[in-house]
Amino acid sequence: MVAALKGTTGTDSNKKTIAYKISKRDELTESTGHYWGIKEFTLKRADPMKFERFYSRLQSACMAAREISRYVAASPGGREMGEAVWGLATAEGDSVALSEGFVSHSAAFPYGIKFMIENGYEDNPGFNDADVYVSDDGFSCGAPHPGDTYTYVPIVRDGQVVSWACAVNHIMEVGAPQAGSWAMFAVDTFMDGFVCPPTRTGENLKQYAWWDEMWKRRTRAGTMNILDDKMRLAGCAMILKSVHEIIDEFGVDYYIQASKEVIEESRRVVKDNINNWMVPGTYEQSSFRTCLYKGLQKIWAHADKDSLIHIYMKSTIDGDGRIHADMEGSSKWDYHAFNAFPGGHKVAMMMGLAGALGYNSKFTSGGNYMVSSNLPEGCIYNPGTHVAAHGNGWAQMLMVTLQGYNMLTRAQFMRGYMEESFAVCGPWDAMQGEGVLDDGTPYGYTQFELLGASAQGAYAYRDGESAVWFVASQLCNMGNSEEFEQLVPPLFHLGRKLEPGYCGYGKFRSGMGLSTVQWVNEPGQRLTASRAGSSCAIIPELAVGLMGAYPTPGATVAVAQQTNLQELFKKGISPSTLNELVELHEEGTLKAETLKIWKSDAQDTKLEQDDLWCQQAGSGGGWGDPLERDPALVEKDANDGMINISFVEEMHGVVLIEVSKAIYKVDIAATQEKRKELREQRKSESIPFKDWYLKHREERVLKMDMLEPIVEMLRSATSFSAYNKHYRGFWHLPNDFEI
Amino acid sequence: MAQVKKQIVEQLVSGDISRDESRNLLKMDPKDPERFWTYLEVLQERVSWKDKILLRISDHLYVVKKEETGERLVKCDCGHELGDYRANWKTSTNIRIRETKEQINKVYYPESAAPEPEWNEVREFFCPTCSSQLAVEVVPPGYPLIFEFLPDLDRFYRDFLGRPLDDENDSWYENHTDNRTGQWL
Amino acid sequence: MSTVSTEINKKKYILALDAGGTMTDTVLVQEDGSFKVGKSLTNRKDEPKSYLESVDDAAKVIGKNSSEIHENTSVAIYAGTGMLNTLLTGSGSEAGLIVTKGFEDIAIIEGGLSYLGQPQQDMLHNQLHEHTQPLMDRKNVYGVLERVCGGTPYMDKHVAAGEILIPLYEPHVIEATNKLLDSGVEVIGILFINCYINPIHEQRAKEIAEKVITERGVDVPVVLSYDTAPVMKENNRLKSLLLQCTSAEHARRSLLSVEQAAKKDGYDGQLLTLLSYGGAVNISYPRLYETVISGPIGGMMGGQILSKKLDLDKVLCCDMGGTSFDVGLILDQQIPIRKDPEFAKHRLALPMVALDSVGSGAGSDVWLDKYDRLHVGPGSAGSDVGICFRYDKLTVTDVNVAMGYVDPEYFLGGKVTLDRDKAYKALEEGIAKPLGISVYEAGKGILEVVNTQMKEAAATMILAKGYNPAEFTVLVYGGAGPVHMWGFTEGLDVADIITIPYAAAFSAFGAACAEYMHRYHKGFVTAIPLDETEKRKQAIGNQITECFDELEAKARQELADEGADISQISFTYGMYARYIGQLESFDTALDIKNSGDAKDVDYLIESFENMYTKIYPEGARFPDGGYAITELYIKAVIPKAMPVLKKHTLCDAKPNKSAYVHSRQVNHKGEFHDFKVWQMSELKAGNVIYGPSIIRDPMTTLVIPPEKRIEIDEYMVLHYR
Repeated sequence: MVAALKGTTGTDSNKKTIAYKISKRDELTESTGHYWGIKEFTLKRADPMKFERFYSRLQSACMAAREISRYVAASPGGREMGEAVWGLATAEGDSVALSEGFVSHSAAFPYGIKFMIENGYEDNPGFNDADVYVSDDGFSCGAPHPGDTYTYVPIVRDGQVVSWACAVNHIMEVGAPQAGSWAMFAVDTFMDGFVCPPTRTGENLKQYAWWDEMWKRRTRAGTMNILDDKMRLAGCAMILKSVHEIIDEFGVDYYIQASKEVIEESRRVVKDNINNWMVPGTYEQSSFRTCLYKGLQKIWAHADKDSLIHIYMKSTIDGDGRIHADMEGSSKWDYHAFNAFPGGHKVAMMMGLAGALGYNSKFTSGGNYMVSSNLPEGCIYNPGTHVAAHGNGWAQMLMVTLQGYNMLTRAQFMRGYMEESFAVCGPWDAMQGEGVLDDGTPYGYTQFELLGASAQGAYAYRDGESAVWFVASQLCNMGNSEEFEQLVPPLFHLGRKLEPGYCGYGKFRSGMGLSTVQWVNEPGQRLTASRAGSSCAIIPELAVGLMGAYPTPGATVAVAQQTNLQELFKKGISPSTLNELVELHEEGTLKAETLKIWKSDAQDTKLEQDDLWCQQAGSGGGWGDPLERDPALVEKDANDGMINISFVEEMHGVVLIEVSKAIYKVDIAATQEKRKELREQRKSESIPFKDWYLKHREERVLKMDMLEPIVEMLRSATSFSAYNKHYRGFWHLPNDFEI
Repeated sequence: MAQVKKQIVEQLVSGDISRDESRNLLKMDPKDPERFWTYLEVLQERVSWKDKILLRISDHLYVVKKEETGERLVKCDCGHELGDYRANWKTSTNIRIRETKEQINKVYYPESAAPEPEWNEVREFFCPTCSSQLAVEVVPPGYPLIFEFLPDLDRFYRDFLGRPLDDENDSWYENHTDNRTGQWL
Repeated sequence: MSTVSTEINKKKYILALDAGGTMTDTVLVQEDGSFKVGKSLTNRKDEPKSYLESVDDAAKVIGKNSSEIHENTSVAIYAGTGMLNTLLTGSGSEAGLIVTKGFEDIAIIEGGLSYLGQPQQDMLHNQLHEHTQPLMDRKNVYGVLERVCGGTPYMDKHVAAGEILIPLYEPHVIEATNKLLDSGVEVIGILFINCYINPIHEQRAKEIAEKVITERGVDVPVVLSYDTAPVMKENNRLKSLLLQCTSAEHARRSLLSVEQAAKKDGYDGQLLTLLSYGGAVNISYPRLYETVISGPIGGMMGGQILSKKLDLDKVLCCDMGGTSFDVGLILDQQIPIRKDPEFAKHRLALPMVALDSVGSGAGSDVWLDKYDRLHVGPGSAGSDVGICFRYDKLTVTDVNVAMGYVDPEYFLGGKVTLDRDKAYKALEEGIAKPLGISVYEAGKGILEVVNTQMKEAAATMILAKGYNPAEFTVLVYGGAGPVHMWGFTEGLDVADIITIPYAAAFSAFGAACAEYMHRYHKGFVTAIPLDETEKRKQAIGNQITECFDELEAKARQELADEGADISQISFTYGMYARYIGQLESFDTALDIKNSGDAKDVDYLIESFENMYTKIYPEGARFPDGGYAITELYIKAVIPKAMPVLKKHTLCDAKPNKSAYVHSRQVNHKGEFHDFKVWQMSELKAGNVIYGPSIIRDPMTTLVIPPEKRIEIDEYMVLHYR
């Protein structure tokens, strides 16, 4: 804290400290509403062309850094799947230019910088040009989860830090008790894996020898993590070099001031976008995430329970076009891996909004100043204790992203900009684990492919496409199975396909989700796998479907053990998707000692020869009333082999007749009949809301007649006064009623 | 600044816009500022009733101004009225619950992807008149209704659109849902 | 006769044509290596027509007609548009596909790639993410059960690369072939996972399919991904396979029609066309999909000739045309290539000349948005030039006209008169007034932004390869190159900056310079731990040599089939290698005489380390884990007739009076100067032109600011100093 205090006093030498700059930025931005109090674009006005030239130099430095350094990487995530980003930040940590990649992760830069300053790093060890700092800790540097590893390189001129060259990428293995990239079972942060606060790991653009040893010693994929570390540093080195050249040309003062103007300019673009595209008011959004720990272990009694995590956002847009996300009512933090910290929440908040609100501006942190949040202490986004585990906070924080993003597309629908409006969903899913080869060689791995692409939800005016976007990054890419198979020796794809019918239904449907089937061959001494992901089929990511459609179906893992696969191969039979596996099993063709279907997180499972690991993920949500779907679209889906005929007859009321093998036509008369019938059913099977309200209140709410995890979730949420008021208010519960 | 033809907006609304046209709209920078008014014009022409549309809040629902009473109501395009927009309009619908495996499997495919009973109930909200499915919630039993959006209409028209409404009043931006449910007890 | 004659004298001429989107340029190279230029409007419907018109146009210059030229032509090279057309219009053959079971959706999933070819603004706008129109109908894809192992960095600690895991289930192939024939496909492609390491399943499936096809008495070719692009990454390999299946034969047909037209007109050789990785082949070349992009690389090949003539190791080629600015490197007189280029929103497995493009050319729109931010492009006037001619928006050319650099009276040698006042007004209204600055400040500023963009692209191209700009000679060409040369080279600390009198037609000239060359790549898997034994190293060295021999044999075979004189073949060698654990391999050229030299594994590693440390800081090296070699390639070159850059005797520095035209007021960097104007055709080797000057030519304008000069050397190369 010394530095922070000292910094706030404005003596000349102190004015060069980051502490001073941070406090000054906050003071001016707060009091004027303009970044650093910049009302007038002095430099831009004086010479607009020079200003543009300056920015394009910064921007191309970051682009080039990624373009060149990513090839050093060991994981497809960093190299081409967009799981990395390079940026140039101001001394205070605000990004002024960014490469392509998962740009929103830059929202955490200021948290890491601030932590270093508040804890006196500026004096000890002090920042020298070309030092190297690394952190992957949500508590101190704002990393969304320990897999996201940040590198910071201070750029020093005239005895002051003028900028940071920064990089983030998502590493393959974090060295937690549970192998892989996201510790799904963690009681407290000491089970998150290799987590370090911002740490000086090298100088003069070279890591210290001990740092490589740390990766080797503390993770299961030392080689890969070292190479990713080198990749981040190589890019930062390039940015640092360019920045010094740019300063040589433009001078330090211009550099610092123009950077601020760039950020303020983009803040204003985002502000205008909010005013022009959105509708002020209050948007309420709810999501739920299961955490099924009951019976997993006998050591930590305080973690031995199933819980349902409440992700609750009441967001408002005010008359000045500021977005405020009130998360009060979200669950309390707990002894599980799904907690998060404010930096991670900011990244989640901006993940959708950064691109969607800022694509037409210079891409900087400017927009982040238009978005604020209320994260009451003790809640899952602000535990107020450093011991909270956050090994996979990301698995529930993605819902924050979706809630924020859907608020925007809903607003654009109301504004008439329907072209932008779609059911935002971005389920990510991955497989992770560890193994030991026959000769005793150990390895850890993460299989990313399903994270690289998912279906887009339905648009307000058309169906969504399959495997077409990645909510976290502009670089949507699943990689190639020929690469992944090299990373995980015993796993071989028997399928990497669209799963027919696996979509969100409505007037318009989402794209089809994906399914992969991986066959275990020569597992060596041991192979285990678990699943890490945001969405779980057990309960949808978003509680509300858009405009009468159904919410996105979640992800599922199926594991078939001790199978008769070898016999099937001889007959030319193999399952290509999870659903095919289930059907082959039901009809008795595929024999398996056990077939386990996980609708929540698949926990570590030991895999043997000829076992099958299948995943179903990456679907999207629908849009509008399913009975209004154009029968011609249903006919096309049928003829593309993309839907189940009898299912859609009940869903859309469209009757198809098979005119020749697998060729269908709409039976118009029968369809009209069917739709009439289904509408009648709606009438006969529904009751006035009032009647349901009274009955439900009486029978379920007042008796708290529901699964224990649900009751506990309500207790957790209502421990925050605002939500307590909200919940009791809606059901009109007596004050003495105990939840 | 660029204008978007009314006929294009009609195609957007009816869902038969071509991929090229919608791509062109997405690439517009800046977007056409007049869009909201064209949109209202198109929407107003598509409904049989005369009440003035202030805002479209879903495929079928609008917040309208009732001249005779001065109310601001939620109205379905079929003409059914769901009451003052300040109370969650879902409280004025008919509701169907799916809570058994069999019921839920009718709306999720394949079965392996269907939400689990007990953890969820699927709430379908219908317009009491036209039976259109206005919204779906998939939430745990005992969970309150989700009030998707309470617009701040006065600020919207004044600060965002620059055409203030003539009946501005701070009370327009209040949540009245609990008052409505309260009357039932 | 063999196309690839080496005696230029037997026939007088070389014909090289570059059929661009709008114009078809001809370069007619004469015995002495000097050449004339011809043009015609590209006729995509009837390419033979525009071909002949263009040749005739060039012939006229020396008072002949096309057939008089054709009769005496040694080589005719034609970079056509057929391939590109079929790709863009989707008018290709109906293709069927047989894939490894479980991968049937690969053609529509395409690895999820949905952002290719987008500017960052669109990439960030998720609603604009969409799949590229698939190259085939999903209904025509069938899976067959089979699996081959791809191997791992753990090498012999696990299943070996290429091992059969699930034998090919042959009944599936028969069934699939029958279904595909039933649905009337015109060609069948086969792609199996990891076939690049062991093609046995693909090859067997082909036999079976062909048997079925013969039995049914139809004529449907079967194409293997292994024969098309035997390299890792199934998604890219598929694109190449489908491109070959759907478009190659169409392109071949249109090239044949051009060849026939040329022969009718008196040409008795074979028509050659250009490969995307440089080099020319005749049109019976099997993997014709490799000619998919050829236009932009012509200039690179011209640059290669120039670099040889002037003995330059490091050249940066800058091609500024109407719609884009392309930069590429020539290193040690070789053209580096890229392995998985993106083209027309597809990512291919195809070696392609490494070019970077910025979307700003002379025709690019110049505009301000509502935040007064200046934008250049993406819109472009193309052949409408700008407001000064027949376009409705302000373009970069308008700015050059307004500033006075470009003479409105002498555009295309005076064929077209431009309206300077309109350009000036547009610049004033559109830019200067909104920004509250003077028209000339605005013009100066715009040129600064455009030039900086191009300079950044140029610098990045060099730095990305880890080189020092000071070692490079910048070669400037393209219609607008000489106009902007002063700007985008300003402050670029390079060895030399050169251009040529025929800068505007340099790409077609380059086509004439193409080597007769093939490339062959093959996936290869080996790991070399630090502590590798000598014995193992020998074994590895032998494997590599064998692989090179295999590729050489294939090259000899194919070249012989094309009628080349294979006694003339010369080979060069290269490999793709990485540190173990890395995913990306790095192109490592090997300086060896023959395949046998590859036995020296230590040398291979050394070559890799040298290449790597050129690109990355010391801190990015990682020898600890050892090395992996993942791919080998060779280049097979056969000598062919080449234009000769004639050596001129140097006259004195002072140009002839006849060269001086007049002088003109030009606003350069906000100040007016009196620029002398010179006629390009009248300048001689040895002349030195001092700035402020402009050298004019019907096809371009060369700007020499104050304090600068142009020195013309004995090859008529213009040095900007």
